[in-house]
Amino acid sequence: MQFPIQIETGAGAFVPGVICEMTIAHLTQIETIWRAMLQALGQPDADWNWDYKLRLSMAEPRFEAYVVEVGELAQGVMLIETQWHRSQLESANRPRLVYVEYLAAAPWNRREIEDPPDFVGTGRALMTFSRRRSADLGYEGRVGLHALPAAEGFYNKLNMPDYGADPDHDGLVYFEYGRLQR
Amino acid sequence: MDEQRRAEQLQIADEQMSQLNNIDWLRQHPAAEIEGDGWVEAGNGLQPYVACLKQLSVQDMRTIKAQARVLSMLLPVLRDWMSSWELGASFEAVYIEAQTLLFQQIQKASVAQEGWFEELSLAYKQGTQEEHSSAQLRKRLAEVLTQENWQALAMVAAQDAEKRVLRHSQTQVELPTAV
Repeated sequence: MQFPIQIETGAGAFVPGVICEMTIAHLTQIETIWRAMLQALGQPDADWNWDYKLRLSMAEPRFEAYVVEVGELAQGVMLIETQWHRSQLESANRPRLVYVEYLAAAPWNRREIEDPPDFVGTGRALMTFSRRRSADLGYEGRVGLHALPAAEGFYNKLNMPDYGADPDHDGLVYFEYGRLQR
Repeated sequence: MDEQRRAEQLQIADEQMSQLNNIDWLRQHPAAEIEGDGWVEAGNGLQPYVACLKQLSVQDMRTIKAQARVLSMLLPVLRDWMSSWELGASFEAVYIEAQTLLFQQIQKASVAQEGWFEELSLAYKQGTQEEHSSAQLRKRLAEVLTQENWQALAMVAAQDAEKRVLRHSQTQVELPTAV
């Protein structure tokens, strides 16, 4: 499964990219390159354990991982769970949804003073794809996730309804897209 | 859920996906207005990753961006080059090792290499990659990888091929039974 996309550069140009299933080559980039970049700058490594869950997508069918790839390099990654999560909102029948376990942009895709990110739009692309995957699974585009505090503004701007802090998830705010509608 | 409803939902989702490949639409709906400073992370498990990124200085971030730009210039050339090595089914294993070794060389570049990497990073940032031909980049790549790196790649290729052959030693071949 590969979806061609155009990704905007910090300079305002567009380059071709794809959204595709995460391969071992992508996983290795995340486990070695992303990680080593931060380690080399003296960042603590002890808490870096989130990538083990990405490996689950290779072994357990309920997990799926996707990346935005530009020029052979993973620019963002998303891990979704497709079987166990249900809507927090529609209490009558609590339909299934795609739950975003992780969504991360690569370390270099951040905006700093006078230094735009190399690529903008990996988050939006992955979220759009999550709804497409949800529709494909018969979940009508329903997607749920817990946003990290720094990213709440992003999900608000995506018009993803915000259902407040979730005490079962360290107080992270829960966002959920409902059924896809025109 | 009936199939017709699923097909309608998929059509809506496909239309949204196709917008991501439509430059006119993307210009009218700039991602930068939505993604702001680039923080898009979701999932409790990513808290340490974000905390780590938040501690980086502007200079640290510039270092990371420069390394990513060099990789963006060199990885497609590396893959293209390696596809002529006739590695067959072992290609992926060797490519994965090669990208890791290349990154290690970028991180510990010599003074002479640093200049070249800076040049590549700048070309990528300014969108002038085409000034560097694939043939030139391939030649420099061969020099960046050390003799030890080449040995390591050969070892991965050999081990991967060995694994593929030995896997068949466990195969239970079912012979047809006489009727």
